[in-house]
Amino acid sequence: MLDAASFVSQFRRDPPGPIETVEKLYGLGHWLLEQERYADAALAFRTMLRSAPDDERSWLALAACHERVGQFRIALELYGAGAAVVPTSVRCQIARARLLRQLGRDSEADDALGRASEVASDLGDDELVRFVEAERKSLCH
Amino acid sequence: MSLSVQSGQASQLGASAESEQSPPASGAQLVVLLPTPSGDAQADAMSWMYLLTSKQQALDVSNGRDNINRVQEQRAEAYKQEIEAIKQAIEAASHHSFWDSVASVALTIGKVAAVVGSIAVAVGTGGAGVVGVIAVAGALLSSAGFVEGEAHVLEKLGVDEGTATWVGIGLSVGGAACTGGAALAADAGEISATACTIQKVATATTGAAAMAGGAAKIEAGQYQGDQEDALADAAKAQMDQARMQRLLFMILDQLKSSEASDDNTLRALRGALSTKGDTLVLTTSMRA
Repeated sequence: MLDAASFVSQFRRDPPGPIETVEKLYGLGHWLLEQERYADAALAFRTMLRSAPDDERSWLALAACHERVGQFRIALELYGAGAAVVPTSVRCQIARARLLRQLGRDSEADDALGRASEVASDLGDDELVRFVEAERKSLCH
Repeated sequence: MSLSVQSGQASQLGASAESEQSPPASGAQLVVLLPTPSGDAQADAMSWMYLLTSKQQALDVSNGRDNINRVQEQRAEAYKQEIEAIKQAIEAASHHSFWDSVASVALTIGKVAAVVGSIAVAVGTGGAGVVGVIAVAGALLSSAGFVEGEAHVLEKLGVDEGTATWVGIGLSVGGAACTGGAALAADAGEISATACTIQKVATATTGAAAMAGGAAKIEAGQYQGDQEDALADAAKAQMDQARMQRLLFMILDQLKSSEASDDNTLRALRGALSTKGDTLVLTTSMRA
């Protein structure tokens, strides 16, 4: 059984730094997401988002929570905001493209993938370029 | 952060276990977009403690308030510019009473110019503060979505099906802050283009007023086209501004009730902690 008191004392003895904290929050939220505790997971990811808005995982993960409960428009907003705040986030663009495609907004999905492709190319990251291409093929099928 | 592609049977993001509405599945096998966390999330409880102590939340509220105040100050400055623009428009209209209708358009455009300017001010000086505001806004949208439901919160923010995005208003604002100005330059270009349109209308107005007879009619025809363009820009800018205002008010409301929110957060997390403890006990028992 987890012992809250020992957590408290450990925290006071050796408080985690900002980077470590963000990783803990992400791990926590990810675990909650796997448990299908979407509202709790969103709570963790919101805290992460406020702490690290320039970490694309904050936006991706929070949007995923809303997508899981069927709040697709909120998810779209969050993916879009993530892509704006983190211009190098190919994943936010891809996630947005997937959702747009699923919602039948094919033209916008193509635009999002196009932007993902541009960003990946600008970054000069071959792996990301292949990633986007694979995504494009998957979504076309 | 690792950006490696991970193979998976289906997108984690695409699954919808408890959907209010379900989009058609694409059927494609997609890579998982959410990276796997480092370490063992279950075995590590420091994150719980961090949340439980709520220190970060208090810090965030403080930072958020500072960000909002900064934006509000910028908006106050933009308001002064708006008043000045209106005065100038009235001045111009008084010289050319024949163009009453033009004067009203000029007033509208003057306001829009200030609105666009206020966004420019936010972009130009907001920097990281604007990113902070967007983050708070995103978090707010999320929490309100879970509490009130998607449709309700979007309606409250004035976003309908036909609207592209709401957070998108934060758009290149965030991009500008993150790219060190590249997106800002693009944004400034758009603002500049709008300003040019506005200037064009003002020039056409003044020029046309000075003409007589047929020449004035010809100019009026040209003006009509510019006017329509400018009004289209104006309408869009006004809609964006209205949404931005709603957003800011919502954020302020949220910050005001942050203490109550923190209490609720702690209660929710304690419940989740208990569940996690139970899960760990169960896992341990099954392994034993």
